[in-house]
Amino acid sequence: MAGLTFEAVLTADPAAFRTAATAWGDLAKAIDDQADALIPNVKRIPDVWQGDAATRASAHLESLRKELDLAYVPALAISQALSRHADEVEALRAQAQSLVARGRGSGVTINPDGSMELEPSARNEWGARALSSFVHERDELLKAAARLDDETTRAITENTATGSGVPAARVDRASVPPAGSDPKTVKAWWDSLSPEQRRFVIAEYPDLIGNLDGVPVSARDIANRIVLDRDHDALVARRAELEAREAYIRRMLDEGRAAELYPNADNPVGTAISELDKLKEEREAVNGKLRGIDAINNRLNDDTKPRAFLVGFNSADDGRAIVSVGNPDHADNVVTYVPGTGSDLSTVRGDIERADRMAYDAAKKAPGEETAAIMWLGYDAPDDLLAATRGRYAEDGADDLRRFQDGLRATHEGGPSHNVVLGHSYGTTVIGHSASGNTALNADDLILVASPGVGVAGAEGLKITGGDSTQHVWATTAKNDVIQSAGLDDNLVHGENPAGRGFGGQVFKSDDGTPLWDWRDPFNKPNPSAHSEYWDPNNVARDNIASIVTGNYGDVIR
Amino acid sequence: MNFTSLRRRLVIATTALLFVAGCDRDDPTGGTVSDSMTLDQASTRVEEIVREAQAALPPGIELTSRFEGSMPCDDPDDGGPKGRVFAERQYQVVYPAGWPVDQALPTVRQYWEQRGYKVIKDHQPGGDRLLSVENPADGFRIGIEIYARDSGRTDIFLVGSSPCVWEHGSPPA
Amino acid sequence: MSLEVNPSEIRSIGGKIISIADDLKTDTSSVQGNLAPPTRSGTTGWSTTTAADRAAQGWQDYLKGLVGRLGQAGQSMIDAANNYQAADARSAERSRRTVTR
Repeated sequence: MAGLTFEAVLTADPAAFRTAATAWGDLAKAIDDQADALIPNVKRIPDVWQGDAATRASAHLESLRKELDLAYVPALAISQALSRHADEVEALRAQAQSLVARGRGSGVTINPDGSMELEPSARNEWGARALSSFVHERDELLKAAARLDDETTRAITENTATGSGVPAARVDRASVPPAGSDPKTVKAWWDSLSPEQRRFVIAEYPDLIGNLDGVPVSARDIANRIVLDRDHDALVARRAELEAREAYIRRMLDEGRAAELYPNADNPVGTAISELDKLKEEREAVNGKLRGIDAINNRLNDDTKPRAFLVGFNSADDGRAIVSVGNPDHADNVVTYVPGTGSDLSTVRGDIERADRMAYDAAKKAPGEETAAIMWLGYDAPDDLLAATRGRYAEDGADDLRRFQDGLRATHEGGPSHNVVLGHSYGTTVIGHSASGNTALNADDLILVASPGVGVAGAEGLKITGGDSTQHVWATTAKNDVIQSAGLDDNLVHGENPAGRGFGGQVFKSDDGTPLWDWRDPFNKPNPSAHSEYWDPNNVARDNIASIVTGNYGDVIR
Repeated sequence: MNFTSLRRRLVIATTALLFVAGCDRDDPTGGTVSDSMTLDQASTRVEEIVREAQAALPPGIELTSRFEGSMPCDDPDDGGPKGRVFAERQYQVVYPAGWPVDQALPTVRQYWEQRGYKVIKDHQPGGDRLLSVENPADGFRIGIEIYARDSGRTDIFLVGSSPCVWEHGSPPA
Repeated sequence: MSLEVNPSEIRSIGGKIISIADDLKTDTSSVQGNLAPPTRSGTTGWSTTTAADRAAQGWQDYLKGLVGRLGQAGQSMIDAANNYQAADARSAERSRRTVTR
């Protein structure tokens, strides 16, 4: 069969592949939904049916449920592969069209089948050189297209079902590298697994695989979606339990029967009120997490935006989530965004919006490059700056951030990407700690937005693999941002102000932001909004971030 | 008074300030609490001002939607009322061969200045151009961005956004 | 010691499993047509298109079988419940006849 032709690239229809990708995603979701629907039914069997026949029936249904669970993985993998194929095809087609247009401009006619002729007016030495360069470019384009086609075909074929399904091969839980392992080791282990084994570990140990640095992003995404879905259902059930208990206690109180509820209490009404308070607190926490989970789900299912990947997820405590707009394993530029105080699962929607904007702004700045923007709520953020001064949040988060960056390097395909780590507010302090240890932080540039200090006195105190930190540590603080007053002169609560003159890094411009005081009404409350306006529409900080993220340092507006 | 305790007082004072209004996560009552137009109305108005800019540019162009979103301006807090949002839209200008690309920015600049719009961003990073203006009457913003690509192409975007509005027009009960 | 056997509950669970199988069948057919990009200008020439088509076929076959097995599992429970009830009725009938004789 003839290979991929120039015409096929020139006339490719990315939307057709994208539609297919969505359909496979929908199929995967349907499989997962029905697997989950089986759970309560299977659970109920021993209550209503006992004996050998019942045991056999339960076991059979349980194995069908596991089969559905397992089928989710390859169906979603096909969706991922087709989605990537669509994006790459779109980029290749644009390149092919650009080639044809530039050819025309240089007197070279490029036909739809890729053959080229010099216009009569261009039949000279200069034209010949242009022709030869276009021929080379066309050939490189076709090679890239063929490589893409091979990769996607292989991914689909590997995950194609036969009558007996898509096989999996057992892997012992103990042989999965523990959390905290060196990502290079983890990657080597992953590479040693067969496709059947990979499917198995994703389906069986999603909580381990989803958060393991060194496992490719697409696999982590599938694993974390499984956990997200499960935790969602568990939290909804928990909320129902809490509400039922609250309603019951209230009813008992209304009926004056508190003593029945707490027969051993000295003050049953007081005990009831105290339990109601605790239940309310837990219910609000559960609601907060569900809000976050909904925000994540909405983004994962949003087909109008670039595909998002759930690179990390854990709903325990305040909750952690790592959501990437675009796949960093395939990207040319990767920006990891570390949010600040008060961030947790309940506030994740705004941070995902910021990541979306950074991905979009970078694509506008450098349309020929792929930029992934990762919202990294991978640490336990303190509730406010005062709590931050008391806790070890930055130190604890620093290790996780370092390993995450190492993990990005380990799983990236092709030549190394341009990796930027960006922090907002206390997120910058976490970055500072991760870049002032014994080994350099695996990053090419740091961007510190609205920093209360990064724990060091100057840029040279930060070590990054990308090179000279005085050239590659960038900072900005809006003129009206009150964060710069969280200290004395430039010596802020967590160290020197990175946007101050004494720090020695590169400072870039942001909009001034909403003034602290409204001169029209001096008795108004002070307005600290400027601390959070860096991603607002039009803020020049966004243009500058895009320039740094895409390596266009000369375009940074200072 | 020793240095550390002075610093601690400053931290407490500042963080109290940020915390009262929610530090990184703003409480909407830090600003105005009055009613506003809804997000839908704001999006419609953004669309209108983008189309006005399109009409002001030399003819023959089409717009392709590149980005459409709403972004929290006051971020919702745990369990608290949802805060206000911006409507934001960005379009790429699709122009035919021979279209006067170099006239695009001067044309809309003049058009906007004639309408009394205030320039809020005017930069030339490298070979690119970024110009944004704000209508002082309603706070809506419109801008043009010109990117000179290495390939020789010029990409042009129209970017529009609204001021902070309540999603449903008023603070939630 | 008597074992718990509640035929009407068993039947109800069996019914729910059959409806889960039906839902899976419905969801599958609604996306089936889109799993492979249509072969036409814009998608021909890419081996990906052929691979997606084969995958769509293979998965259709697989899911048909899986839906069948799931439905069968539900039906088996209903049948078991019916058998229990029938056995109960027969034994009650036998006792009744014994008593009246």
